[in-house]
Amino acid sequence: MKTFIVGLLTLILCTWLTAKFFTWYAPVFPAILIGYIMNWRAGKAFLSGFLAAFLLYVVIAFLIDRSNEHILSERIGQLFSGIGGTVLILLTGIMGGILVGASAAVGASLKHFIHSKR
Amino acid sequence: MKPSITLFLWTLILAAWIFLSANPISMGDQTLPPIGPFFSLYDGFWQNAESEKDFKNMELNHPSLNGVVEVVLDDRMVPHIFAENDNDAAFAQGYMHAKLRLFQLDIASRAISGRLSEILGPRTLDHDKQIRREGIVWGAEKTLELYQKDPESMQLIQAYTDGINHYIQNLCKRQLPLEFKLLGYQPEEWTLLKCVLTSKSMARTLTTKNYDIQNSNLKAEIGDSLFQFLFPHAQPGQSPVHPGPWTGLKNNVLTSTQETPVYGYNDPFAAQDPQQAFASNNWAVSGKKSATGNPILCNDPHLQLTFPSIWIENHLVTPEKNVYGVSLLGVPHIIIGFNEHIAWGITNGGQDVVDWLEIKWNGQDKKKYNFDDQTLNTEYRIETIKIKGQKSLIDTVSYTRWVPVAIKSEESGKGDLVFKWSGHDAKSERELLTFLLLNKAKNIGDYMEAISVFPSPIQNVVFASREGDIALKSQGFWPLRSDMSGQFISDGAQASSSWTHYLDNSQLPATINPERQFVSSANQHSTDDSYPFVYMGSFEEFRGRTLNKKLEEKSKLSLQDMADIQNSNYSLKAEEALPSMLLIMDKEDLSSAQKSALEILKSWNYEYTAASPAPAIFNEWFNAMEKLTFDETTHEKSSHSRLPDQWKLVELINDIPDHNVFDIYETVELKESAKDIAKAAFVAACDTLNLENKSIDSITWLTHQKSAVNHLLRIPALSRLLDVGGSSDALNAMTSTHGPSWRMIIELTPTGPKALGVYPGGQSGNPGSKYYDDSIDTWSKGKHHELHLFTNAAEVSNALFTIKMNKL
Repeated sequence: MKTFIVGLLTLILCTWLTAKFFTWYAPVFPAILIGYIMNWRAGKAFLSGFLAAFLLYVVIAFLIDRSNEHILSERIGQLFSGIGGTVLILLTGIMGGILVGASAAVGASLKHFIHSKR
Repeated sequence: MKPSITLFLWTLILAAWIFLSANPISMGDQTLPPIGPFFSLYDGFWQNAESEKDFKNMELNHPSLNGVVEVVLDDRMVPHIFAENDNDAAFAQGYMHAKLRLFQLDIASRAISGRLSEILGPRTLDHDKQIRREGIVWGAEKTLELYQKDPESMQLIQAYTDGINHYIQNLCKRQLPLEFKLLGYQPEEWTLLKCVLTSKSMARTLTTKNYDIQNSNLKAEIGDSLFQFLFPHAQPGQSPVHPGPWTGLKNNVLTSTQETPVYGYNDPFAAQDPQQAFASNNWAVSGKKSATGNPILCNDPHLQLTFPSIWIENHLVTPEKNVYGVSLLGVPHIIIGFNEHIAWGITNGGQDVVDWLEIKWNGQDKKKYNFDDQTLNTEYRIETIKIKGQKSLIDTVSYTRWVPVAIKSEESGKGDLVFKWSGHDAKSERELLTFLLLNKAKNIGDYMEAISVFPSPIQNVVFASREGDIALKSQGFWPLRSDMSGQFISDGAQASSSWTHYLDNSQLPATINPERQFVSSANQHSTDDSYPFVYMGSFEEFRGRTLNKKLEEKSKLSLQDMADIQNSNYSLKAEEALPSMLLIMDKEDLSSAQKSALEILKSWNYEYTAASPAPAIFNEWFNAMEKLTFDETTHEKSSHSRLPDQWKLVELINDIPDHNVFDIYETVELKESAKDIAKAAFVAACDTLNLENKSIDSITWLTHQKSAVNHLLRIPALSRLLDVGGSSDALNAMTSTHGPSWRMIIELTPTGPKALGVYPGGQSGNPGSKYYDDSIDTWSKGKHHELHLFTNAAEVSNALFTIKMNKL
C-alpha cells in the first residue's frame, strides 16, 4: 500500500511538472520510467497512472473552471456536442489518465519483458 | 500472456492513443481540433479560461516608444490610454487591439487579402479567388506607396504595427487565443500593408454591392421603360440627407453618347445573400432643438453583428487630444466618438462606386486590348492561393488600364469583365490622418479640414460641437459621372465609359446649421433631383423618412428621446402598405387560422416588437407579395435577378393596383391585379408560417427572425441568440444577422460631453472571458453605458489593472 501511494504521488508530481513545463505528451516519459521502477504488473501500472493523471487533471481543471465561473467550459462543452462543464472536466481527466496510464503500463511490461529475457 | 506480447500490446495502445490525440477529428461537416493538445491543461483551451488573477498590473519596454504610456483597463475592459504623444498612443492602441482581439485582427487581414483558405481549407476558396480578382491587395499596395510619402502617417501606422507585433512576439504559444488552437495555426506578423488593407476592408463591405450585371440582363429582358419604372433614380416622397437647394453648384460634364447595350453575363461571385442590410442612422440636433439647450449627436451604424464585435472601445489621451469612441481593428485612432469639444458619427452613403466594363481584347491570346484609339498591352499578376490540406491554386489575373479583369469568359458565359472600384484609388498621401485630425478637432473648421481627405467608402459624417454648430457632410470618392450608364455593364474599349475623376470637396453635398435645427442621415438618397451631379446606388428611404419625421415632430428633444429613437421598432413601410393590403384583399374562403392571422394584423401598431406575432405575418406576406408581383425581375440565376426597392411595391399597391406588373407572367389567360396578388401572397405567407398545423400564439417576431450575434467562424457554441425586436426598415434596424453595432448619444454641454454608448458584444475576443459578451444584455434592453473622458490614469474609476509602457 505504501509503495502504491509513493508511486502514485511520484506519478502525480512528474505528470504535473512535465505537462506544465514541456508539452501535452511529455508525461509519457516519466510515466514509463516510474512504471518500470515500480514492481507493478502492467494492469496495476495502468490503473495507477490513470488514477494519478485523472486526479491531477480533474482537480486542476476544476480549479481553473471555478475561478473562470464556468464561462469557457460551458462554451467548449457545447462545441463538443453539448456536453456540460462537469463532463468536460471528467473528459480532461480521462484523456490525461489514458496517456499516463498506458505509459506506466508500457514501463511495467518493459521491465517484465527484460526480466523474462534474463 | 507472454511478456513480449504484453509489451507489444501496451506499446500499441500508447502509440495509437498518442496518434489519435495528436490529429484533428472530422465530425460531420466540422473538424474538431486534436484532442491531445486541445484538452491538455497547459497547452489547450483551459489556458484560455480567464480569471481574476489575469488582471494584474504589468510593464513592458519597447524601443519605438518615445515616452511613458499608461494603459488603464476599466471594469468593462476598455483601455484608457494616457500617452505623451500620438505615436505612443498608436503603439499602445495596437498592443491593446492585439491583446484583446488577436484572432480577429489575424482573420480579418487574411479575409481581405484572399488568404482564408490557408487556414480554413477549400471552403473559402471562392472568397479568396474573388478578393484576388478584385485586385484588393494590388490597390492596397498602390495606396501604401502613396501614403509612404507622408512621414507623419507612416510613423503612426508603424507605431500601431509595432504595438501589435510586440504583443505577438511576446505571446507564449500556450496563451494563443482559443481560435488559433481550434484551427491549429499561429498568428503572423502585422505589417503596414495590413493597416491599409483593413482600412479598405470596410470600404469593400460597404461599397461593392452593385447590380451592373443584373441591371444589364434585366433591361434586355424587360425593356427600358419597365426597367426605368421599376428601378427609378429616386423615390417621389423621399426625404434626402441634404435637403438642398443646390444653387451655385454646376455640373460641367458632357453627357456621354455611348449607348451600346452589353448583357448576357453571369457573375460567378454574385451575392449569395442579396438581403445584406448594411444600414446606419446618425443625426445631430442644435441647442435650439434640445431639451437642455446643448447640441446632441447620435449614431448607430448597422453592420453584421459578430463575436468579437466589429468595434472596440478605446479612450486616447495625449497633450493634444482626449478622445473616446470605437475603432476598427487594424487601424489606429477613433472612428466614431467624441472629445471635449466635438462629437462625430458616420453612416454609409450608398453611392454606386463600382463599374463593370467589358474588355475588348485584341487577339485570341488576350495579350493586348483596345482602348480608345490605342492597342495596349495586358499586364499580369500571378495569384497563388494556398489551401490547407491541398495543392495551391494559381490564378493569373490580367490587369488593364481599367484595373483587374475580375470575371473571365469561361465564368461569365461571354467575354471578360473588369472591376473598377473607387476603393482601389488613393488621392492624398494624408488620407490616413483623417481620423487623427478628427480626434483632435475642436470646432467645425477642424472637422471640415479633417474629413476633406477621407477617401472611401462615401460616408455621411455628422458633427456637433460644444460651440453650438451642427453639420453633416457626405464625404468620400464620389465619381463624377456623365450619366446613369454606370448602372449597367459598359464598353471597356472607350475611356468615356466610366468615371475618370471624383467630385471636388466643394461639390460634395453638405448641410451646416440648417434652419430646421437638425441634420440626419439613414442611408437614404443624399440629395433631391436638383443636385447637379449624377449619382446612383442602393438607398433605403423608409428609415430616413421615419427619422426626419421623428426629429421634426418634437420641438425639444432629450437624451431619453434620442435613446427612444435609436430603439424604435416602428415601421413606416408597414404603416403605408398594410392598410391597403388589408383593404384590397379578398377575404372570402379563408380558414379559421388565416382569419385569426388577419385579425392580428388589423390591430397591429406597426411595431416590430419581439413578442408580437404580427411582424412575422406581415413580413412573410409582404415578401411573398414582392416575389409574386416582381416575377418579371426574378430569375433562378442570381445574375439575372433583382427586386425593386420596397417602396416601389408600397407605391404600386396604394396608387396603381391595376398595373401590369401585378400580372403573373406564367398565367397567360388570367390578368392578375394587386387584389389577386394580395390574396395569393397571404395564403402563401400563412403556409410558410405553417398556420394550419401550428398555433398562432406560438409565433413571435423573435422566434421568426432569430436574430443572433455569430462568432466570426460561425461556431454556434461561441455565438448567441438575441432577445430583441426591430426590422431592416425600422430605426432599430435588426435583421437576423445585422443590426445596431454601436449606439452612441453625446450631449455637448459647456462643461464637457455627457456620453452614452454600447455595442452588442464585449471588449475581449476570448470566449473564455466574462468580457466576451458582457454588454449584450445592456444593449438588448436598449440601454447604454456612461462613457467618461478621464484626464489622467489616477482618475479612471473602476480600474481593473494597468499596463505601463516605457521606452527601451
